[in-house]
Amino acid sequence: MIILDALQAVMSVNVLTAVTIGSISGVIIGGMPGLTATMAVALLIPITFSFSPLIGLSLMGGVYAGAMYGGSIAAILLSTPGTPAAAATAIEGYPLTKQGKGGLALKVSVIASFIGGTFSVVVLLLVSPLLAQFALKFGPPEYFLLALMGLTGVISVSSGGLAKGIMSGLIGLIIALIGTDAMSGMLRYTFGIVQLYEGVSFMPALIGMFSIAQMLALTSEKRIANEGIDLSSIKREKMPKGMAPFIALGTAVGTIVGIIPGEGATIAAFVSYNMAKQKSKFKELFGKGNPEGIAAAESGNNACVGGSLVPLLTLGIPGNTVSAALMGGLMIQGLIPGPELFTKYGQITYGFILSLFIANIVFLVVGLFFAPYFARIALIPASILIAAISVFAVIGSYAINNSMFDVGLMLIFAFGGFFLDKLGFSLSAIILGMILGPIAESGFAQALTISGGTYGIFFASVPAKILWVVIIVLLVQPLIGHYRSRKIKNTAS
Amino acid sequence: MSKKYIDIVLSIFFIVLAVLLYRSTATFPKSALFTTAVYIKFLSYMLAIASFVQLVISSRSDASIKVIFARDPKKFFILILSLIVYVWIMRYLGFILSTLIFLPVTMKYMGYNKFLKSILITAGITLFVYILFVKLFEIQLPEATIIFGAAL
Repeated sequence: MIILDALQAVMSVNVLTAVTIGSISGVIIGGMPGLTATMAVALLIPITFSFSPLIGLSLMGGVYAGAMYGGSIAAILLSTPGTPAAAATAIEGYPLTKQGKGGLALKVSVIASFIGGTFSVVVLLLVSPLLAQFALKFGPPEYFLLALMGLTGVISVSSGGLAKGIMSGLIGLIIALIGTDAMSGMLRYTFGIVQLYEGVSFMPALIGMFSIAQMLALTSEKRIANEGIDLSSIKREKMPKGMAPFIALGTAVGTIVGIIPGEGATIAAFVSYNMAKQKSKFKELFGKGNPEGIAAAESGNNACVGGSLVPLLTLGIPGNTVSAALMGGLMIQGLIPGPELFTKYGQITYGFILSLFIANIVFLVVGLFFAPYFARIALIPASILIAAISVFAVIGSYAINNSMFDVGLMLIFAFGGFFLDKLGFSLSAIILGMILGPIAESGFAQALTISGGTYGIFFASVPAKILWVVIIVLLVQPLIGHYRSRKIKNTAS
Repeated sequence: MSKKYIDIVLSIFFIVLAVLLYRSTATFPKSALFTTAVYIKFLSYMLAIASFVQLVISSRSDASIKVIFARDPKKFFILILSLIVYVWIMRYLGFILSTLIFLPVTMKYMGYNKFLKSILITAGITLFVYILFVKLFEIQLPEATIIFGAAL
């Protein structure tokens, strides 16, 4: 019944318009290297603040789905992945474009993206309510461990190494300490600054680290894409045969990877791509323009969209930075992720999930008929992009609380984030630490209060034991990888 | 700049931060001693251990590896400066005037030399943001207090 109500709500003109605008904007933003879905969703939050929750969330969900697909257009036509997740697509897509088969690559990409994205939303629709019910059994120790698991997922894939990954997560958790202590009511680390009494808002931090820091990095670029190909020569082509197994492979991998916190779309795309390479009958064509690689990579990264929303909506644990930004959108509307989203706010939540189906249909139509035109967007000079995005970032961080203090915070996080990013610290881990900090702290403190100070409570229940196993696996996995690569290096030398 | 030495300095900084964090819990009220204070101590232990491990890794690393913060330092620092000035003058000139100054100046220094186009882009973006935030969503943007008193 709730789903029917939600369907009716989604079919309203306002929501359909929001999804369409969101999805098309997402394709545009995803198509521009240097601009990310996280940045787009973060900059949208101040705007959606004045919308009804369903319209706001549909707009942001549309941007997320559209951007994930949009990254492939510039990757195929200009050899410049619009998003990091489209890097695997560029390996096969650009050679196809050079062979005059850009139209074919674009068609494989949009259809694979559509199937991957749609399937993952089906999983989200079916799995989330069950997981949300299961989450009702979770107590404070499990929530502390969930927050720890969410953070460990991101730390484990940190490019600067495990130690820096852990330090990044801890920086976020420590920043989250600033403000009023929920247990005793005392002020912590506020240094007499009134604006810090309620803590450091994570939205200015998100906008700073994922918008302005990106713009600082862009100052080295004149144009963000190379202009080697005549875009007007792209022709429409039929979908090649034999793509189904590779799309199915990418879809399955992407959905599972998406659900695991930290393991984002880039990993899903590369894992799917590598598996497709092993499975293919035409292995020798990989790297020279094999559409099977595009099918696997694109279905893989788009399947992450629905997958990454499963832990966010059910447990309040964002698995990646886009879902962290979406969490900001939920919270600004007064919606707290967890079981209540599927009962009390069922119409909004199911409406949001259903709107993702529409977002997929919108980018399918856009991709089938207008993809080459969108590639031109990547040719906008970096100078214009830097100035324009800077204005949106400043105004966006101001508009959330009408506060110039937030704008100052945004700049501090932008400059600090840029510096730390260059040194190999993980900005994703910092922002997730800031978001998960209050969940971890309240879980930890409440659990100790319940147990009278005994730490055994963190190991007592079955879910707690399972969560410990997952945390340990996530932490050990990069160490094994590091050990293996050292062994290979030593053998080679 | 050598990555090794920056990493060493940062690791030491975070070890000091961990110690300060740990020591700060001594002043906590009784009601927070067995809950919040324990959590903060846990974080400070973890930070100290991770920073120490990083310190060891950095000390053993190759000093010849450099970190390039900006391939075009001039543009990089101009953007930082213009952002700080933009936010600072917005307090006095308000959103519209400060944006009308920030956009063309930044575009120019970032390498866009088409004067007429940059003026049109500036006007377009400023108008778009104004209509979107102020007119459509009724979000108040910073106003020009220094020139026009209360509001522009």
